Amino acid sequence: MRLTIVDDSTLFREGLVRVARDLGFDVVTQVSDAQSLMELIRADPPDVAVLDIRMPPTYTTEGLAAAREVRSSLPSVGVLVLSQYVDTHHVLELISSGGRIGYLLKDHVGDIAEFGDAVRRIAAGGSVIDPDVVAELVGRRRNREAIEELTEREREVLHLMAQGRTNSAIGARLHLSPKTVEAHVRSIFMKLQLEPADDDHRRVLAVLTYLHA
Amino acid sequence: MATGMMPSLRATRVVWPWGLALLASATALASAPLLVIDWPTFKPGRIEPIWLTALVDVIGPIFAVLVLSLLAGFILSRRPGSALGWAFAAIALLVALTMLTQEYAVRALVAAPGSLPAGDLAAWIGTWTGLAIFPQALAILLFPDGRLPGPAWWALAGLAAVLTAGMIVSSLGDPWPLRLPGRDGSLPVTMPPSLWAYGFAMAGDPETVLGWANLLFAPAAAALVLLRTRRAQGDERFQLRWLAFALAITAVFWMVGRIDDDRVSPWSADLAAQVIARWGQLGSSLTISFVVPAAIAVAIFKYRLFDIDLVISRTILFSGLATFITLAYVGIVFGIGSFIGAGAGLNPILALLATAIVAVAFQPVREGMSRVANRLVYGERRTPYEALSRFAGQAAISYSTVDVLPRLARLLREATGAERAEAWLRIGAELRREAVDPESAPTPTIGLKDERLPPLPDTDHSVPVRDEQTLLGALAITKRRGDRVTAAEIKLLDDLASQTGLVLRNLRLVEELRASRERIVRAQDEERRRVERNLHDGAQQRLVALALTLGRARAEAERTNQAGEFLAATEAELRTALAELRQLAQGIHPTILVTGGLEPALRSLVDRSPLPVAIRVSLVRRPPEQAEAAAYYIVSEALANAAKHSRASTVNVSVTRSGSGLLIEVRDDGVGGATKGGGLQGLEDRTAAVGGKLSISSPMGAGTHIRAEIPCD
Repeated sequence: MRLTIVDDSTLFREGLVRVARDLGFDVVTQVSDAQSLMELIRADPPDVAVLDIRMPPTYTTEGLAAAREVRSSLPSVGVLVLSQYVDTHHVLELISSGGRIGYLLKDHVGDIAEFGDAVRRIAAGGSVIDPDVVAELVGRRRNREAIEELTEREREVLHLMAQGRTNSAIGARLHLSPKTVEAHVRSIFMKLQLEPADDDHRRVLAVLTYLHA
Repeated sequence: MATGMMPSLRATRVVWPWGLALLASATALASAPLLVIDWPTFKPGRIEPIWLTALVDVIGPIFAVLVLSLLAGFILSRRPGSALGWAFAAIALLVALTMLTQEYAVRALVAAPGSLPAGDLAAWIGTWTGLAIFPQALAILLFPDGRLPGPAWWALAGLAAVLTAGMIVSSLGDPWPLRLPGRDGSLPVTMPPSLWAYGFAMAGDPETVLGWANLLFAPAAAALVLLRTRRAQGDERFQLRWLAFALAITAVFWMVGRIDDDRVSPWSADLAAQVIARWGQLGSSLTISFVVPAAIAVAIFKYRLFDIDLVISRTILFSGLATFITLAYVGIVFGIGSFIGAGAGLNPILALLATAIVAVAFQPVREGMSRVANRLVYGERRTPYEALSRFAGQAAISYSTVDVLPRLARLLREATGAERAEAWLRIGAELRREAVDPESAPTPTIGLKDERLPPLPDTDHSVPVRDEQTLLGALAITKRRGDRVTAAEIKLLDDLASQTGLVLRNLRLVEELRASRERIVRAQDEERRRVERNLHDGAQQRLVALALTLGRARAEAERTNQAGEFLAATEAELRTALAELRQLAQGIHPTILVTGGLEPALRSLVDRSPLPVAIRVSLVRRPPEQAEAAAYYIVSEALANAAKHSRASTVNVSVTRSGSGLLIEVRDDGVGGATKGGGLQGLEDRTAAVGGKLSISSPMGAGTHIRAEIPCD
C-alpha cells in the first residue's frame, strides 16, 4: 500500500509517517503544502493521498480543493482528508464527488488501528466518514423524530453505515450475521423512506444526504 | 430624443405621417418655381429692402412649413393619435397651401393673366387658408404634451374656432383688395356675388371685434403659455420656457405691428406709426416664421442643450438697454430740442449731451436691469440672513455628512443664485467634494500640503472652512456664464463658512467615533480568529501529535504485552481533552463562517440549538465579511438568549437582503420581557459599529422579536 502524506505541521506529519510505516504502509511522498502536490502525485501515483484540510497559504480549505482535484484528475488515487473540526457541510460535498474518499478528525488518527482501517477501506474503493461527524448529523434536531423510530440496534447499524462500513464490517463490529445486518439495513431504509442502494458508496451518500437535509 | 415630452414612445413606427409631412413640404416648395419666374411682380416694401421682403414673405413661411412638417411627422409616426401632431400637420399644410395658391393666383391673374385657369378660386382659397388661425391657436394650447390641461383651455380652443370661422365668414363679404405677400394689395379677383352678399350679411360688422381679436391674439397666446409654464414641473417646464420665450418676443412685435390698424388704433393715419408698425410686422413675421418653429423644435428635441434662462435674461437686459438709450436720446435731442426751439435738425451740443448722459448712466442702469432680469428669470433668492438662519436650524438637528453637506450646498445655491454650489470636506490629507447642488456623480479629491486651501477646479469663488487654524473643508460656488460673484455673495459665503466650521467639527468627531468603533469590532474579530488559529494549529496540533505517539506506544505495548492498559487510559483522556479543545476553538470563531459563508454557518448554529428553529436565508451574493460576522453573532446571541430565558416552543430566523443591506430577524413565541442587559447590549454595539440598527421588541408574554439591519456597502 503506497501513501502520500500532506500536512504543514512537521510534528504531526512525521508522527503520521511513522504510524503509517508501523502499519506496514509504504509512504512514497511527504510534503508540507498542496502547491506541488499534483505534479508529485501524477509522477508517481500512490494508492491513497492523506491530506490536511488546513494548509498554507490561507489556512482554510486548501486540502478540500486539493482533494477535489486529485479525485477528478486521477480517479485511481484515493483521498483521505484529515481535519481538526466537524464540518458536515464540506463532508457531504466531498462524498458527493464519488467513492474512494474519506474524512477523518485528526483526534481519531491516534487510534492507529482505526487509521489503518480507514486507509485500507479507501484504497479498496469505499468511503470513510468520521464517527463524530456521523454523530453530529444523527443528533440533529430535525432528524430526531425519524431516528427515534429506529430500534437501538438499528441506530448502531445506521451509525456504522454512515461511516462508510460494509455489511460484513458492520456484522463483525456488532457480532451479527451478515443476513441480520442486511435485514436491519432494509428496515432502516424503509423507516427513513429511502430508496434502497446496493452499491456501498451510494448507500453512504443516500444516508448522509438524508441526515444533512 | 424628446424624452420629456413623450416618455413612452413605443417602437412601432408608422409611415403615413411622414407622407403627410412630405406633402406639406412639397406643396410649400412647389410655390418656389412660381416665385422665381414671377419675381418681377415683387414690389419693394415701404421701408425695407427687397431681400428683407423676400425673407419675411417667402423664405420664412417655407422654413416654418419644413420645420412643422418635420415635427408633425416625428410626433405622428410615434403617436398617431397625438392632437399636437395633427395641429402641426394642419398648420404646415394650410401655410403651404396658402403659399401655393397665392403664387398660383399671382401667376394666373397678374404675371401672365389668362395663362392658368381658376386664378380667382386659387386667390380665394389662399385667403381663407391664410386666415385659419385655429390650428395655430390649438398647437399653442396643446403644447407640449398634446393635452388641454383644464376647462379654461377648452374654452380658449373653442373661442379660437369661433374667431377663425368669424374671420373667414367676414372675409367673404370683402374680397377687394386681396392682399398678397410682397405685392401691392390689389388683385382683380371675381367671385360669385351671391357668396359675397351672403358672407357680408352674415358677418354684419364684426370688423372692430376682429381687429381687437387680431391685436390681442399673440399676447394672449404668450400669456397662456407663460401661465402654463408657471404651473408645469420638470422637463415640461423646460420645454414650455422655450415656447414662452419665442411667443413673448413675437407678442411685442405683433402689437407694435398693429398700431396702424385702423380698426383698433387712433394713429392709423400717422406716417411715423405706419413706419413703426411696418417694422413691427416684419419683426413678428420673422419671429413667427423662424423663432417660434425653431423654439418648438428645440423644446421637443434638445431642450436641455441650451441654457434658456441665460438667453431670456440677456434678451431682457439688452432690450431694456436699447429702450433706455433710445428714450434718453430721443428725449434729450428731440424733447429738449423742440423746447428750446432748435428746430428739426440735429443740435450737435444736445447730441453730445445725450451721449454723455447715456455714457454716465449706462453702467448703473445696466446693473439695475441685470438685477431685474435675473429676478424675473431665476425667481426670488433667499436673503443671506434667511440662508444663515435656515442653515443654523438644520445643522442643529442633523449630525451626518449624508444630510448636512447636501443641504448646505442647496442652500448656498439658492442664496447666491449660482449655477452650482459645492461643499468640500477634509478627510486626512485630502479635500473631497462631498456635496454638489445640483447633484452630480463624481467626487473629485485634491491633495493638501498644508492648512491652506488649494484652488478648487471649475469654481468662481471658494472659501475655506476652519476650526481655529485647522482646515476642515471648503465652500465654493460657480456662477452662470457671464454672471459675476458680487460682494454680498462673498460676504454670505464667508459667514456661512464660519457657521459651517462648528458643524464640520462635530461631523468629524461623529465620523471618527464611528470609525473607531468599527476598528474596535474589527480588531475583536481579528483577535478571535487569531486565537482560534492558534488553538487549532498550536495546542491542538501538538496534542494530536501526542495522541499519535501514544497510540503507537500502545500498539507497541500491546504487542509486547506491557503497560497497554495504562496507555489506553491516558490516550482516552487525551482524546476527551482534544474534543473539548476542538469545540472551544470552534466556538471562538466559527471556521465555517469563513470557509462556507453565512448560510451554512447559521445552519450549523441552528442545528446545535436545543430549541426547534426554522431558518430562512435568502441571499444572492455573499455579504462583506464584517456584515457576515455581525449577522452570525446576532443570530448566535439571540438563539442562546432564547434557549436560556424565553421558554419558547419555536424560533424563526430570517436573513434577507433589504435594499443595500442585510435584514436579520429572530422571533420566538416565548414569554418575552427580554432586557438589553449583557449579550443583547453587546449586540447593539456590534450592530452600531458596522453602521447598522438593532431593535428589540419583547413585551411580557408575547415573545421576543429582534430585528437588525446591517448596511453592506
